[in-house]
Amino acid sequence: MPQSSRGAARLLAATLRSEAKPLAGVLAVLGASMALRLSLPLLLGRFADDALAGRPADTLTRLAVAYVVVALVSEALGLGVVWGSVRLSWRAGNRLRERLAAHALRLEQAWHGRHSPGQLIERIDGDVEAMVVFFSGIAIEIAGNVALIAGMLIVATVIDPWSGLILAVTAFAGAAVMIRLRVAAVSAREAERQVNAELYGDLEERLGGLEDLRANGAGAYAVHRLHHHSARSWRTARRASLHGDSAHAAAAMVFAAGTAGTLLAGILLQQRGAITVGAVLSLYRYADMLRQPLQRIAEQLKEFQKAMAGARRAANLLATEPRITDGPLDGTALPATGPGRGHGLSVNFDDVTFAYDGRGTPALEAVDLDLVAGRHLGVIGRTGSGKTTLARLVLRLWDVDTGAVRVGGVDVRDLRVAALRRRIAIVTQDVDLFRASLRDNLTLFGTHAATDPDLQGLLGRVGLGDWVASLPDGLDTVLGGGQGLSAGEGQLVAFARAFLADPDVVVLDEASSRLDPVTEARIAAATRRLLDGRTAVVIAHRLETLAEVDEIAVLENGRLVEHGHRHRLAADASSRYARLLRTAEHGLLLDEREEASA
Amino acid sequence: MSPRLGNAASTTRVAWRLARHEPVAYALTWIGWVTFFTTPLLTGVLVKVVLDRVADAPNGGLATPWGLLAVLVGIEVVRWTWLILIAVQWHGCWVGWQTVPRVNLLRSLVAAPGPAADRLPGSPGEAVSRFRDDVQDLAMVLDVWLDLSGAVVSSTIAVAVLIAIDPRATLAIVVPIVLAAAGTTWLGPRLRRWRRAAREATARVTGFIGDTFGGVLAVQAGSGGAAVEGRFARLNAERAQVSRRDQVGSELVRSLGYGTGEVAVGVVLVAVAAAVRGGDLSVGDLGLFAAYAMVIAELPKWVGRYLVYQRQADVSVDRLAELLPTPDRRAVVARTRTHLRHGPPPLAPTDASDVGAPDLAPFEELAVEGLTVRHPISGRGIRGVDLVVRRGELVVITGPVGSGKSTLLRALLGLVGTDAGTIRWNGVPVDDPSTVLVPPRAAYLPQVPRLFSEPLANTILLGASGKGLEHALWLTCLDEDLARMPDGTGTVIGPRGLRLSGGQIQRAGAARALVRSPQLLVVDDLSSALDVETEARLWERVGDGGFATALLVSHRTQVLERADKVVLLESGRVVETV
Repeated sequence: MPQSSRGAARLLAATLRSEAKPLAGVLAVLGASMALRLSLPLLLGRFADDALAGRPADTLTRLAVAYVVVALVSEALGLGVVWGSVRLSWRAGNRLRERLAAHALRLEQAWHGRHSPGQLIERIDGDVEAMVVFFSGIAIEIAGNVALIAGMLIVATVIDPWSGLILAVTAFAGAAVMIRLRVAAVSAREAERQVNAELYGDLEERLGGLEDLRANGAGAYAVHRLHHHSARSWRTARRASLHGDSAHAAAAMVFAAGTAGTLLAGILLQQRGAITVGAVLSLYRYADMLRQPLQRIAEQLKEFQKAMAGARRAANLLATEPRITDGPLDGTALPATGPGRGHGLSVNFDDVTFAYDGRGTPALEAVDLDLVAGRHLGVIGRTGSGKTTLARLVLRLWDVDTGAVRVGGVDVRDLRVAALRRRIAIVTQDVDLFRASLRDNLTLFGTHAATDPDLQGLLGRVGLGDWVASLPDGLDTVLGGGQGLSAGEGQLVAFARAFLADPDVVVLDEASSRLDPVTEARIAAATRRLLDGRTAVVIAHRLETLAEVDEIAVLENGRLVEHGHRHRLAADASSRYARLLRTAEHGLLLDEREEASA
Repeated sequence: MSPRLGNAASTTRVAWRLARHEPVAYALTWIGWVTFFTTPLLTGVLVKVVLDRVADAPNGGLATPWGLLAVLVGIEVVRWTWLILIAVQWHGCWVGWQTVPRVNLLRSLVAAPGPAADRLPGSPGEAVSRFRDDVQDLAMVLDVWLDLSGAVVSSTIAVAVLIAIDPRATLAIVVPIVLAAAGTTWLGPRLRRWRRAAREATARVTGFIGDTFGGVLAVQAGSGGAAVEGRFARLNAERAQVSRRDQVGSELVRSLGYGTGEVAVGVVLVAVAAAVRGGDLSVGDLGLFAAYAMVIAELPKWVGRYLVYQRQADVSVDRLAELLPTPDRRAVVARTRTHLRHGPPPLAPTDASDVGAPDLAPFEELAVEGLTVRHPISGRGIRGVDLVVRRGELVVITGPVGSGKSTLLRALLGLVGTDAGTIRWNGVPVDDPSTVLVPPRAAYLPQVPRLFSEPLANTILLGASGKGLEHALWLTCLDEDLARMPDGTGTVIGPRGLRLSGGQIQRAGAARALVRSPQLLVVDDLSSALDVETEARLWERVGDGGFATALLVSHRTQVLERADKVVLLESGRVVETV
């Protein structure tokens, strides 16, 4: 834990360092504002002394007016400080948000499997928000209050060294109490934050699965879970408060004692004639003012604790090393392909064994599989037999435990991740569409450059031409939560996205499972064009989808139990593939009839 | 109560209703804060007495006021110990104030009549922002009431004391306070606008994060990281711009409160200059005026905050009410139990309760007539669909992509709103299918079932009793998969079941529907993620398992073959029924 605290401190320091200059400016204005505030008790003491001495009313009025002016200017400068600090903290906060998001995007699928999008919202936005709140007001104000306290101590010492000493002892004792109790408070605050992250993460999931809940009569269950999480939040919030506010209160008591002590010192000195009554009043006001910044610091200590907890979690996230790391080789290590140069890249599995999280039953075991460049492989097997795993290892979404996966003859671990993935495209059954324009969805926010006519043509080729023509905003239409887009159409958008990437290897993981046979037939030509001249790994349940692949691989419980040319396997009555064909034969015939009639 | 009336309920009334959920807790917290706020008045009087004694006594002629100083310290010790108690009490209330609207809204979303998904704004991430930020804004109103009450009570007492000493000087304090209040009022409507813009920009950012990490596979596999980061940076920059304006504006209002304090002290000095010189006011009085001026000057600060939070909550309550079937601001804080102290009581198995229409007879026939749904943007949907499902039948809906198959099922179950058409259960018209066509009458497997991050058994049962679980697992052939999982049905699955294969997710979804033993099973394309063998076995088991009636969307020929009736949809119309 101390390690992560240090990480948090380092992160905060680094975030501040990039704003050093604006920060210095803000602090300068802050100093001026505080100096003005410091002069107010002196003016009040002077006023009292002058009144007691029976000075003319003019003098008194002039002092009073000066008091008003100084108070106003000090407040105006204070606003300037806020304006400056809000600007710099948003800049720094957004930079950190972007750093966290970029880092999380580099983390592997296994990590994302453990962290829901709702949790990531809390960690990329919620935690940084706490830090932004801290910088935009609190850090600055704490600095200002520390300066104010220091100034007060100096002025009080000039009036009388003894009262200065009492105020100094009070300030140190108060600070010591706060620091001592803060440590316990931080971990309580962190527990509270964790519980809240779970509460919101759970809500996000339930809200995303609202129809599943409703149509299966599971509403009461969802509400019950919310109750459960809320009750936990109640307990942790109260515990965090007990820790945090005790620190606040203990320090306040120390300061109250200090005020009484200062007053006592002032009285004793005045009795000896060492200082005036006005000076006693000034000292008392300083002692009282000392408490105000303390109260602010204590209030902000809560925010500071939140910010520290946020920073600690942010530092932890940044310290999470991606397990999928770049290899030394860039894209030039792969054979050049393209028009007139080659036909896709070869894909090899050399004795690959892989288990999720490196434990439990392997998802793939001792798989040896060679796919020559440009050839198309169909992969079949029961659900859970390892087909999807096989596909994702090609993209290096996970690293194998033993053995190696090679693309274009190069071990995928030796390549830069981006260089590898630029040459491969995947279409899965779960189409990931974003709440963004159709154009952004196709180009992945501009990852693949394409002109509008290109995109229109592409959509026409995958059979979405009529659909896009019917959209009022065309390519600018925002796809919102699948509205107006059927699952099948979503799949076609994913096909178009894959086309746009112009890959050398195409992985289709149940890519057409959501399409009806008629539509599938309609885009068969488009699929053929997509696969033409590229290496392909096609996973399908429907055997008819595999009617045109060159080779067939059959997986069973993570083992490759059959691999060969499709025609040869089909002709061998004892092969598993032939057996499966017989199971589905009747269906296949029916489908063909349907196709002919369509 | 008409919805319009409910909609017009002021934020104050909404917040008051919320406070009345736990009247004792709120009263205790209120008393606690007000006491905490008013004790400094007592300290002020003590200090005045001390200062007067010092000023009046000839040098060296005064006994040091040890007793008074001891009382001064004693009061502070009690005051801060008191604070710890009320702070803990307050934190409990704070969670409670947020829990009530959250529970009401979630309950409405999962159970109120009518299609619910349309009520959710954009992504689930954005919806979470309503459950988090907007709910907090409402709770802030109750919180600021406490502070405001403390400030009002303490300044009222302070003003009364000062008037007794010098009415003219007391009046002088009012001037800066009125000016501050005027400035605050002028800023009010602008703040409200800025606030909304900031909230919307925040929701766009959180929505984008949610979307990006929901589709992280596509982003990673498509090397889209850099482009996504670029878009994120743009959204961040837009948000920073509107949020800065919002923050500085709020700070200005707050400063109008703070700054007034010292300015008021100065104004008092101007007003009393003559009186002090004439000896009508003592040094102690001067100290008291300075101390009380600070107390009274707190008032505009809290009034300012009160106005800011009130306006923020105006917007937030509207946004929360939008999540309800008819936007009703009062219903957001309808009376509900929070179960915070002891946690919720164990959930009664939901399969026993019969919701919606308990008097409906067991299923004989479901008849749909002229069902029409028009998608508001694309104009597509289904038109005039007629369909009859009788007990014991397997009815399959098929047709090309975009022909309206899923829409038909979802309209039938009330998950989307319909523009025309009737649905009859055994001849009885069903007004709100979303609450009637649920277990034990109907259960539904959507095309992409959403599993939740919890043990597999829980995400299947979702509160149903476990008695049919094993059977449902067997029916969906999940029993074999479970044998390979480390903790069996207790295996915790990742977000949305990421660690399960596509077929396993869909079969878990199927088990979710089957475990409820529905009289009518509604399935949207089960086969899309299943291999031939598994699916054949599944239908064999389900067919033999006694699931009498099913309405399916499918293209699979094995399924079409088994069907008693096949409905072919094209462009939202039934073109053929076989």
